[in-house]
Amino acid sequence: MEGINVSEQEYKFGYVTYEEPVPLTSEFAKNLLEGKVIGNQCTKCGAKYLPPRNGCSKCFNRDLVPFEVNPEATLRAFTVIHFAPESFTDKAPYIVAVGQMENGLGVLAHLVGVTSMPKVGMQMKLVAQKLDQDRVVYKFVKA
Amino acid sequence: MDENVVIVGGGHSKFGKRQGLGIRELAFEAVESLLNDFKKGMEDIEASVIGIAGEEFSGQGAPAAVMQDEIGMAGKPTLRVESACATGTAAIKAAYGWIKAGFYDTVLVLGVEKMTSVSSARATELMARAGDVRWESPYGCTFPGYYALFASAHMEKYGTTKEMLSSVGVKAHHYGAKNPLAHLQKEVSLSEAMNAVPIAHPLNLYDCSLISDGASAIVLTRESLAKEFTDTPIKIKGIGSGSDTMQIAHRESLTSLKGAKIAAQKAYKMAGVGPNDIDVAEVHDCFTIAEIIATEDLEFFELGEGGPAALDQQTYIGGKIPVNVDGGLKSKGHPLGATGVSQAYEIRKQLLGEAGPRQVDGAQIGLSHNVGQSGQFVNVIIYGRD
Ligand SMILES: CC(C)(COP(=O)(O)OP(=O)(O)OC[C@H]1O[C@@H](n2cnc3c(N)ncnc32)[C@H](O)[C@@H]1OP(=O)(O)O)[C@@H](O)C(=O)NCCC(=O)NCCS
Ligand SMILES: [Zn+2]
Repeated sequence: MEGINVSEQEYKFGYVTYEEPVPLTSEFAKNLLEGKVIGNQCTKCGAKYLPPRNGCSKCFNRDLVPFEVNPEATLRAFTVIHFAPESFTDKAPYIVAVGQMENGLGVLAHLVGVTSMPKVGMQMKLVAQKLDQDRVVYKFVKA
Repeated sequence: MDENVVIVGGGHSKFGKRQGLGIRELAFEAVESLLNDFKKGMEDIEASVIGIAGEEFSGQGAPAAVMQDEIGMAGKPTLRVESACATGTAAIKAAYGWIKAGFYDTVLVLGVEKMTSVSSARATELMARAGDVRWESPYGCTFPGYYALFASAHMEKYGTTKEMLSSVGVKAHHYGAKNPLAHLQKEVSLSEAMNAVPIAHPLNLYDCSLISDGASAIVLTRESLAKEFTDTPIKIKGIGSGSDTMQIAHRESLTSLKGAKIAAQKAYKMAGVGPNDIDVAEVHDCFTIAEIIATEDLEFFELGEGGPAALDQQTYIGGKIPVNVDGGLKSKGHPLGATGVSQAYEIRKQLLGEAGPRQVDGAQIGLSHNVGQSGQFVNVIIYGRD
């Protein structure tokens, strides 16, 4: 494809990769690195997806266009993980949060930088962090 | 096939950390126990449906075959069913469908899991992979974690307290202590339960189900053949199922399971009964908050009233609706694939009046509620004496 400056690098999303990386996640991670949370929208029925999908699950249209999501979020639910999965043992304790974003969208991510117990309803912002050369995560911080 | 499908036998292994036993030995133990009070033999069972959630725990690929052979059914048709923690009831539903379709008259349903062969951290990792491995599992949310998310939302919305959560665990251990098949047969006090080691805040050790090994089995047949097997068949009156979004962050509600509400409505309708008709219930208390939400989704209590009702012992024998009086997943244990079948086993015992010190007097109609993952699979089954 012309016009897009794709460094051939593949990016991985999240702290751990469990499935074979796909172009969708690599692209999502690359956008995150540029500070953008990019979802996509169906050109036929208007359904919005965050994280993005390969096709529209409502009408099976393959033609989805990217849109930038406002990173502001409200805390819907949270937990502090003390007993972690094997791959996360050295990270515990960490806070996992569900954030509500615009247009009914939302994601699950770590919440970092809080010094006391978070409060459901608090305002947050979704930010990106590069973990190493090819791995990116998003996390919530207090707004 | 217009007849009812009935349960004519039940068997149950001891649940627990069953060192030295693999899935085949556990399966054998459950079927052996079934044959103890069964008028007929294995030769009268035509096929089996085998529920097991994971193969990485036991190491055996395509695990139904090895169990089919061990229980002497090699040559007869079998099928492995998997719906995470709702595997057991999915297997019951599949067998029910086979009988209704007229494929077979009499089918064995076997649920099994061997979980303690791996460390708890490994088991936690394997179970966490039932979350969305692309978008959510990469953040290390555990199963206790997903339910802790629900708990935080439930506490915020309805004022549910830690004490209410812990009281569910206290009840589970109270009854589990009276169940010889239970994994952890010991009472726990409210203060012990409230002050246990944190697992996924606000859930601590006594809010979590156990990592267990075990198996359970039931036999289903058509009503007209029931008398050949037993004098006291238990009827399956209704089955309903539902599901929900894969990602937790996409849920409309974090204080209720949509799939459970749908499943309950369908099951009540099919059985022609309502929540007030249920005498005894087995609900999927993988975590204490899950039991509170279940009692609301099943409409035993209004939304937000599940916590206060638990604290008020409305879910004990003698309360409004006895729930998990076998100890539940919390104290009886939760070998994933066995759980849904174990629930049916317990309801049958209750309706037969054979539950011993845990008997709900005169129970006529029972219900089981079995949830896979964090609501992506739900089955509700209603059972009756007639
Ligand atoms: C909570 C949990 C992590 C604890 O595991 P653990 O810390 O490795 O526990 P261990 O196996 O080392 O056991 C330590 C002690 O705690 C007890 N114990 C373990 N789990 C327990 C539980 N859930 N409740 C009460 N006691 C428990 C053990 O019997 C043991 O007691 P002992 O020292 O007197 O022998 C584990 O039970 C768990 O993950 N439960 C949830 C399972 C789950 O998610 N299932 C799927 C649901 S959808
Ligand atoms: Zn569409």
